Amino acid sequence: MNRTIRTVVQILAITAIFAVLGIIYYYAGAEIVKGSPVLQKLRHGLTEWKGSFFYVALITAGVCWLLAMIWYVMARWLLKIRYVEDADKRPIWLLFWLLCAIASLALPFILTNYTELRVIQGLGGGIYWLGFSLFGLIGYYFSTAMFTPDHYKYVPFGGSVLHLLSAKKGA
Amino acid sequence: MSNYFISIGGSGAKTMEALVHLAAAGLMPNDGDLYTLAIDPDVGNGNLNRSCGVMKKYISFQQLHTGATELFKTKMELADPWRPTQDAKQTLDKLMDYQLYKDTPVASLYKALYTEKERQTDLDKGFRGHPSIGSAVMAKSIDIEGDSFGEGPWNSFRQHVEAEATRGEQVRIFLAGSVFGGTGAAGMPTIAKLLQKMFETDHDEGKVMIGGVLVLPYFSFDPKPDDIRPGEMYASSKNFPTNTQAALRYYSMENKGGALYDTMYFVGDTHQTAVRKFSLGSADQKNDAHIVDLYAALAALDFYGTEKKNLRKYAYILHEEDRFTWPDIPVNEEKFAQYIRFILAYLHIVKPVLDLVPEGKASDWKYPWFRDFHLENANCNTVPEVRDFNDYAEGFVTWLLQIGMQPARRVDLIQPQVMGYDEYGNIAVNPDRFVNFDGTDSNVSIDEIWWRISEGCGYDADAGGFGAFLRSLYDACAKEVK
Repeated sequence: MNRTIRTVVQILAITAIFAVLGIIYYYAGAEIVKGSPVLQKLRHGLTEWKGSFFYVALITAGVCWLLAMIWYVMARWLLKIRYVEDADKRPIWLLFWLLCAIASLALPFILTNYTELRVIQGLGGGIYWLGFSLFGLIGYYFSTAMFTPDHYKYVPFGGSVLHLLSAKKGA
Repeated sequence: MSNYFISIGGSGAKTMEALVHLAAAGLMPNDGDLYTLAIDPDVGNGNLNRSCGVMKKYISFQQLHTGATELFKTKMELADPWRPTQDAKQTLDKLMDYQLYKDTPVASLYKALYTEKERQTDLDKGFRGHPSIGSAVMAKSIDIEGDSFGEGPWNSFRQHVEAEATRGEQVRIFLAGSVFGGTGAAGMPTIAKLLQKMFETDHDEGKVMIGGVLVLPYFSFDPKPDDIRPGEMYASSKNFPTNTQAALRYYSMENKGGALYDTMYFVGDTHQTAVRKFSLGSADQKNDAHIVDLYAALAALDFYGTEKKNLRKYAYILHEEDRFTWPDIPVNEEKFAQYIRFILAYLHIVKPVLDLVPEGKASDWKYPWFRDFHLENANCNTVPEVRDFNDYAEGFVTWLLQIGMQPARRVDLIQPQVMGYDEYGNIAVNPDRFVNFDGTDSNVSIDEIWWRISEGCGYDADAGGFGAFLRSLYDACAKEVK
């Protein structure tokens, strides 16, 4: 597979990871909320809840996807290696991961209205926040660990285990 | 087909060094092996030591599993250097058994031909620019007229050639030496005659061909009074033109009808480069590489690669400009450039990692190729082939830098400021200049090479270990990756 095709495939794969995680979380969240007292307290129907939940999930996923893509674009086109020392890009990768974590926690908080925030407490609330934060972190981690361009492919922790679409291995 | 190379004296040794580098780059024109033999009375000579060192390292690379590649494709063998003066403290008088003939007419003739200083100077540092001594010593040491050709490397050499000629393979023997010094001037005709006799039948049948490059003067030196003890005999570059004139006259008479060589090459320079440090001989005699060495080695490649019917008796090339560029080097330009790129990239991005990671001083996740090729065992302190390759690569760049630093010639093969030495004396490569180091457009930057080796460029199932990595790096340094 030549480098251009691999780049396209990797970008699509990163997008797909976020899409799959988003779908999983969206349906899982809907299932969880279905039997919870949250809907009664909010006097919302499930459809209405799903709509607002989908909106928050979409924005959060979009931001984390964007951060993963920025890392990808930087690794692919901008972060050139001129000296051996230039290979140490883990701080940048970690910074984006941290931004993902912040975005995953802050965005649902910002985008969810006050009434909902008040009732999203207890076990259901914990799952809600945990889900959102993990959703972004997991999405960023897996998409970068598996599909970072080859010359930085082991910068993400566990990259040597997870990296896919790698060309032929050495001896 | 097999290729044989005999270096005679310091200029021959320097040609041999250049030939090893060209062969390492895959520029040998045929797939034959290269068997080499060095001749020098001064076996501790710095030039010879350096050349043999380079050759031995190259030979060690043959243990690397690089798969099917042009890199290091030529198998080489290096015989022990042959010293015409067996005893370290040999003088011409001792060698000629002067005491036995002291009161005879022969001794009188001998005394008329050689001064007392020539007769009594220790020959442990060579023939000191006196070919008349060298001719006598070589003729005495190798019994040209008789059936004995001495022992050691010559026996082995003869057996090799005869075995190959018997198998019906064509054998090409190439000699390199100067015409103006002591050892080369004495050895070039003497050894050629020896070979003609040694392989007379095979030579007549066209199975054995003998070629040679005669290096004409290209350097000068001006010893300071401290360099020489009073009364000591030494080579003087003032004698080079007269020595050369006499030698050329000799060759023009003697080589009629190919009596000495099937083909001869002459390489020299009208500008005489001043030697930085004068030396009488031994380990101190380490002269910088010169463009003439490169051309002498290219003459060998031409000889090995040209069909017999196309070989000319004398090859004469005149280069009138004071500037050398890639078109002036008659080899596959891109292949040589790829090899230079490979060595520079190795020193710039690989060697530092191999110095640090196996010692636990850096993490390997930064270097994907390091993990993919399992280089954790490539410790340059403990693995001989890695250490040898490091040394070889540094030696190659030094050689290249010296070739480029001709005071009276511009050698524009490598662009300025591509490589040099840092403040600690280590080889330093400028990554910004690297991409167009040979003056041609290219997209092969350090980043691109890093990327390619991280992708596993040049994967070959037959390659393995450190050899597989070098193969990948070499392939990654091509302008166009296959």
